[in-house]
Amino acid sequence: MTSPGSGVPAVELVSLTKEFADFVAVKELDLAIDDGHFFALLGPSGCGKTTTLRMIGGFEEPSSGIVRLHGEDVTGLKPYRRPVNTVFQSYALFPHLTIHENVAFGLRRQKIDPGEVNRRVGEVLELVQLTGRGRQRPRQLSGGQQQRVALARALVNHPRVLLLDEPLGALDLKLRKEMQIELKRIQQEVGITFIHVTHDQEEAMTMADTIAVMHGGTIERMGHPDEIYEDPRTTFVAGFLGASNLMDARVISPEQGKLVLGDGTPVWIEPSRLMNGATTVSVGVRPEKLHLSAPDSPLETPNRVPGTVTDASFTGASTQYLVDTQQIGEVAVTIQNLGDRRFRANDQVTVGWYPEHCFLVT
Amino acid sequence: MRGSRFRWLLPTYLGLGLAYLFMPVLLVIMFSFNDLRGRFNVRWQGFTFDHWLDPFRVPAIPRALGPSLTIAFLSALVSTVLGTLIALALVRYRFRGKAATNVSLFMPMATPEVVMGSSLLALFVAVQAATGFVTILIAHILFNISYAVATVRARIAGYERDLEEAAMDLYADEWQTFRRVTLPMIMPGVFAAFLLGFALSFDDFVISNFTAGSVQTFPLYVWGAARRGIPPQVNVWGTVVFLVTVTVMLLYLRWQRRSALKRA
Repeated sequence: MTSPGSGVPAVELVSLTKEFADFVAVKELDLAIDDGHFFALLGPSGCGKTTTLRMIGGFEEPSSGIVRLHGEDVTGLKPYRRPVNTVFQSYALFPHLTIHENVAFGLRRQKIDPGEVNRRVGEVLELVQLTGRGRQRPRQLSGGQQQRVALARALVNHPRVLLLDEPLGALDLKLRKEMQIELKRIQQEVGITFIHVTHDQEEAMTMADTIAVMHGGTIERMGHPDEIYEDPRTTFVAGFLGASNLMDARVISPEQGKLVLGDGTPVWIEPSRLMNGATTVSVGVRPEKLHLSAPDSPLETPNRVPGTVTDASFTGASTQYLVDTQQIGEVAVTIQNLGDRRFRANDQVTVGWYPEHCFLVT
Repeated sequence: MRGSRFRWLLPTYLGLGLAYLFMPVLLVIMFSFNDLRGRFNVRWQGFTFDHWLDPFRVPAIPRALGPSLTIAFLSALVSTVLGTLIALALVRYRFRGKAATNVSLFMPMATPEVVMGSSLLALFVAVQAATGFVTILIAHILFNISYAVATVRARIAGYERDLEEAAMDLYADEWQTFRRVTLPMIMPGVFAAFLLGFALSFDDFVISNFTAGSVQTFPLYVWGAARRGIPPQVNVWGTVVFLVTVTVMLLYLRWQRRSALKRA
């Protein structure tokens, strides 16, 4: 056993592979998750994120590779022999038991003294704000409440790692937003490592300290949410984390960060992002990083292309434009509504952006 | 309203249907109170409690009820246990011979009882097993298993595998998971399978007739007695069995509704 903060990762996956009869769900995955972190496995369905989680929980046997929990090899151990607990997507509450007995289930199996069981169940029900619901049955509760029971039932065991399999998937949008904040609060309060599987990039970015974006059974990009959002590095990650405008460019001067578009229009980017010696690159920039101006009031941004507004939709806090340009095709632009001039379809505009807001993708 | 002239039609139809179903039962009950003279209990001759006050007057009846109830209980028990395990295996797992198992489970339901009874007799003779209590029991378990599997399977199919994974996640090993989660979830189906098996076994005549040897079950006794005149005590016992069955069914339904309400 190791104490938190000793440097041993809470979860360590070594070359983990899972092959099913007709496809490979997870391919030689290497991953170390620090203790006390809120970690998100993000990806579309079929990317292997749930299979990875199930291998950590012990519900799926890896075809090869090792699962370590706090340095201890648990590969091949049954779920009930692993110091982790899971919040299932369907909640999987026992319908024949009361809320109290659902939450107490894990403690009773561990033969914990009944007085202690009652104390801990009361404590955790308070943590998830369900005090007084103990005698009800799962189906008497709302979806959000059931979700919190599922969380309490796992947390009451003081697991060293909590696995969450799309825990908010069944909730409506408003409740989901509330629960995101709630989950984050609880994680900070209990200080347990959370591994959260989701296909919702906003959810992952709201809650997680670290996000691993999975694609085709491997991790394509991993890092702090803003880090991977601002510099996604691959087209897939760029597209999965939000909208982005991509353009092909030729490298002119790697030292200065100077590129040119197909028609010779210069584009400047941060030289540090031009790592490898590539001569042609794909440049991305997020819609909210773009600026618009009328042709007669020039932008200060080093990068500029002229275009025509083809669509403008007002969404309250911001306006979403589509601008047709000769150099980079149709670009999406999001402008905060700060009381500046708004454009309409067919207006001539200049689209501009700063070098530090460009990222390169492969 | 278009249907108003024919509003009586559906209730009448229902009433006739129920009368058709329950007439014979009512007659059995009624004739248990018949103050009969002579041997044949077929003509109403006056009301009496005599037969109810002396249900053991014909010693052959309790002698036949003994093995009948024992066999019904044991065959229902064994077939429910085996049937539940088979149903779990069939729903949960893919294995070689699954299709063959399905077919062979269906066979006893599809085979005419006469055919099954006579083949069983042929089998018992071939292996030189003396027919009697044990052979009846074996035969009843055989046909009860099919119904038990069908009843339990319907119940298993309706619930999520997740619950078992959740139990294992919460430190329950395989046995505890079965006892604390799986079994309580499928219990209504298991209990229904037991009741059905008990009733089917207690009621069986054809297959018992082939496999009983010198043992007399209640239906076999009644069959034999019919030629000499059925004593009214048979009606008394028939009524008792009917009332017990109905009571258990009603209690079961009430219990199910209450546990459904608790979960709703």
